[in-house]
Amino acid sequence: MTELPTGRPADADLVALLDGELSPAQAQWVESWLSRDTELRRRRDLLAHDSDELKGAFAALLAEAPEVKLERMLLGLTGYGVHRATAHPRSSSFLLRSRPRLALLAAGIALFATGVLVDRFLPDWREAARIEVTSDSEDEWRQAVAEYMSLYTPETIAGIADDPSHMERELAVVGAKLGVGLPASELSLPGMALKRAQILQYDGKPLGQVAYLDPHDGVTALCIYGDSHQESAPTTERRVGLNIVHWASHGRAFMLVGRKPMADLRDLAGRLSQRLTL
Amino acid sequence: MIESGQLEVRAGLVNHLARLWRYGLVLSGRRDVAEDLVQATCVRALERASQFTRGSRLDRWLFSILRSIWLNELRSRRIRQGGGVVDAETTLSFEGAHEIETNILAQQVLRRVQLLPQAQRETLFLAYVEGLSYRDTAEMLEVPIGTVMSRLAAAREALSRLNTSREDASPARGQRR
Repeated sequence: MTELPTGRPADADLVALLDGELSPAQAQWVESWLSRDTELRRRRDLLAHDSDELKGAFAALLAEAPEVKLERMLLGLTGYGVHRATAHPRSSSFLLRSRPRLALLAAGIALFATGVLVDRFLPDWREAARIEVTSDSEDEWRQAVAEYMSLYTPETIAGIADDPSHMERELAVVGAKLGVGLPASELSLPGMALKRAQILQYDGKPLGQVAYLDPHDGVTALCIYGDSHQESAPTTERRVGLNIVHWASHGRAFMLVGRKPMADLRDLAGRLSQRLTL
Repeated sequence: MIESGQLEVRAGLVNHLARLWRYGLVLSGRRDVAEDLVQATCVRALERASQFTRGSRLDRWLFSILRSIWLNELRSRRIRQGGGVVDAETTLSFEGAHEIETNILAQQVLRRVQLLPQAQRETLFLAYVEGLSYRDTAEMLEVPIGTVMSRLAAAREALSRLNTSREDASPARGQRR
């Protein structure tokens, strides 16, 4: 790519120009040819394939990765286990810290989720929960929630009718359980329908979930866990293929989780963290 | 004493499993082989964690390991077994029945990518999906940059041709860009 350009540009040069991979001198050479060569311009247009379409297709494929299975495989590897004994607790993988209480979350799901979901996935969850690792890190609940949310599809909540008064009642129940004010007006987010509020439990403590649906990114959930000892500002992370923004205040931990781009999720989390009063 | 590079590998592995699986799928065209590749990559990465340079790109390092395992071990084993590397039923595609509009389009895109020769498909994937620069793609594939350029040009031309024939076949879908 450093040699001096000569002659008529080839397809590879046109593509490199489209990809922004040419040096200024090389780009100038290709562009000067394009300005006077109709056939070359036609060739460039033919090659100008839309890479967004490609990225979108492969992003959808990424969402199909069997992440839970792969994570369990990783957890079972001999060399990986050494990590537990030697690594600093904060730098160790969340995977190792997240397993012991999954059964408790599964119990929470069994109480509240629909039969289809439970019948289909609970055996798998129980199997995962049998892996015994002990830890007391504060972020285990987020891994458990992320794994639970990874089972959601838009269809999981799309069938719930939009009924504002019913929604208010659900929010009031969840809010009362968690000791948090949850008026629908404060929870509304642009372009997203509030579909459901429900109480789950994690490690014997209430865990509230408010689920949103939007046509573009599917399900996004605000989850509130009533057991946090540290205040923290909104922070981003990624678990089980989902984007997450989490923060904590007044003894409660919050997380907004979904498939929205991280920047959008951060913006929404900023709005919610300012509005929610305790 | 565990080196910090080793810790980085162990702590970071879990964040790259899905992308490794996707790369394994692009290489092998089979979901089960992709899972085997991820597992073998994790085993190898843990064994060689001390060789990882702290602060460098862990994902790229893992991709290189996965690719090397594919080229040197799994692929040759499959060929020896006489099973072929990729058969028509197990190419890049989605599973499940969620045939919503976006997935139908995505499915078509993947089918077209699947029709490309293996070298073009992998180069296209690394450069345009994983976003590697030409230089990084060339290093990953251990080929000159000129080869990356010509593969991308050939892949773009082929995709454009396939796209045009698709549009001819179904006039309802006119827009490409």
